[in-house]
Amino acid sequence: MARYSVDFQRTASLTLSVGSLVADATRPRRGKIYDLILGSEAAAADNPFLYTLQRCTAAGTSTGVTPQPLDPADAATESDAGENHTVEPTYTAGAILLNIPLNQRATFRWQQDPAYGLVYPATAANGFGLQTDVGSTVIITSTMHYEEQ
Amino acid sequence: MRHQGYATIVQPDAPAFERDTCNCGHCQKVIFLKPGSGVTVYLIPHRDGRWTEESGAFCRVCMRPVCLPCHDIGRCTPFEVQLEYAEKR
Repeated sequence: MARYSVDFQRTASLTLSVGSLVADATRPRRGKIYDLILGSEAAAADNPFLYTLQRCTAAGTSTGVTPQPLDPADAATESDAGENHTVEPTYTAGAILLNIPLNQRATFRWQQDPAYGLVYPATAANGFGLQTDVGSTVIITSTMHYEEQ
Repeated sequence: MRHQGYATIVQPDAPAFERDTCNCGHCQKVIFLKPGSGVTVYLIPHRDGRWTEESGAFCRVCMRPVCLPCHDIGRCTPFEVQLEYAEKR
């Protein structure tokens, strides 16, 4: 089971999503998110953000991001990641796995034993999307670590 | 407890905020825990920066802590079962 890191950055996107990580459409595999870092690298300001990690069943339209294996000897991931969405992922209503309100100046990190991470199923385009509840041109950056099975 | 995680918030004008977390046994939602309470008191974050306390919930069918919305449903559907269902579709 290989582990990967993926970095999302929402720059001038008009959508709410910061990034999405979903199982591949043709070769879906289960994955477990076990480390998540959220924050903003914009100039310091007092903007409130409600960060939400939510399940999704379609990735929407975005700029592709290539997750990097933590061990360079591991193969490339089968999962698909994207940032700067122009079409939002299809979020599953109520399937919110993390809701954390933060000031723009704050940085949040959540870690878990990789064996018990947040699991997305081996179903095409099923996975997680990370979003804020208001659109903004403030740069939001997130790093996710996950294990693919 | 094996399902526990750890959350940290750092910001310039406040001390670091560190709390244990656990995952809901039904939907996997990340639950923030009051220090020293085991999994019996949950911390609920609010937009104005406040954290309020709520009594925790425990499913005696799958023997795992569950989030309050799943507790309100009143039915045990472990997330492994939900994953298998999603993968069969």
